[in-house]
Amino acid sequence: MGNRASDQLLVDRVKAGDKHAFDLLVLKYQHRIVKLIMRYVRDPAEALDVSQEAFIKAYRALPNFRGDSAFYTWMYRIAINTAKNHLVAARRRPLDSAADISEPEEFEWHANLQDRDSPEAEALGEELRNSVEKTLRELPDDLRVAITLRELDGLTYEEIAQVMECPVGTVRSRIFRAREAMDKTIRHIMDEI
Amino acid sequence: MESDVVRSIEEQLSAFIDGELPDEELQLLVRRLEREEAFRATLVRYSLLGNIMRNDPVQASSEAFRARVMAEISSETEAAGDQQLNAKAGFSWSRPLVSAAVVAIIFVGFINTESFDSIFEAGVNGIASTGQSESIDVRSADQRSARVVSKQTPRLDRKASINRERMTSYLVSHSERARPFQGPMADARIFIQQASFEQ
Repeated sequence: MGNRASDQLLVDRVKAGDKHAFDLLVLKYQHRIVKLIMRYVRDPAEALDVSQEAFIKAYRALPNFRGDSAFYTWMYRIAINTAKNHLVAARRRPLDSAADISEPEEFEWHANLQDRDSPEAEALGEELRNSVEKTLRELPDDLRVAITLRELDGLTYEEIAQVMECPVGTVRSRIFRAREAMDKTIRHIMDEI
Repeated sequence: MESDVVRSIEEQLSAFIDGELPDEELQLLVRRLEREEAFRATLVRYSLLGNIMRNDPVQASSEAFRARVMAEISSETEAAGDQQLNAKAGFSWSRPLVSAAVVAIIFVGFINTESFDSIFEAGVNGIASTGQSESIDVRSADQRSARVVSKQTPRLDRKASINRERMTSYLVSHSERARPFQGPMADARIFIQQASFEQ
């Protein structure tokens, strides 16, 4: 099952009223959407807000999603349009619009996001990168190649299986074991956040 | 949970992130993720690993982001649910209206075939004994009385007596049901009464 079929299954579940299925789509694509929106909206806190808005728009529009394109392609367009609209609105907005955050929880959320840009947050990101790179270097070759082909080159399991001349099931297992090893190194860092 | 089972599920999460999980496994995984917060956290970290490897912006607060999106969606869904409930409630109020109309039609049919005069008198007495009804249809009360007087003297046998009770209780119960409502319900009641007397 490819990404498209897998996503379509989740989309069908959302349409049938299963909110948790959309939760999985958010989990799966949030990083890519945030990264995409950051091409337009430089401020990380604003980018997260716009990403959130894009996902909520997608959820509202999902009943009209016919599946002619892949979910991510459709979501991608929504994210781009939301980012563009945000930029247009930002140009019209007075400079002190941050003062509009009147709700305490809103303020806390924005303060929390701004913390991510702080030196501490940058240090945290650096620590995560160093841990992952170190673990990646120490992985057995077959695991490192498999995860690299997947994450950096974007190959499917089928394509990786052809490159590595092994069954698809083995590819799945190798990629998982590579992630498992890297996850161990970042888990304790994440728990401290 | 056995560590082998946990690893098996984590392998499914890994395949899910890559869009390579077979349909039958995906169905099970979705249900499991609804219940198991720990696996959701694992999914977030697996997704984050890809970002770190690609040197993409590391969004360490991804769980908070997801939670915020879903909270917003939940509040929207609840609001939509309330609207649906209100719509349903509106529909339920229309049910007495429909049932009243059905009863009226049956009643009219019944008048045509059974104890026409007796029922007429019983209906008028029923209305006269119901203050709520009088307040609604005062305008035509004289006309109705005149019309009833012009009828032949009714046969007050046992059957007519039963019909009188039925008619009275019917009108009383519908008056009470309709009391808190204006508009369609009140109109419906007037319609029922007029329908009864225009035979």
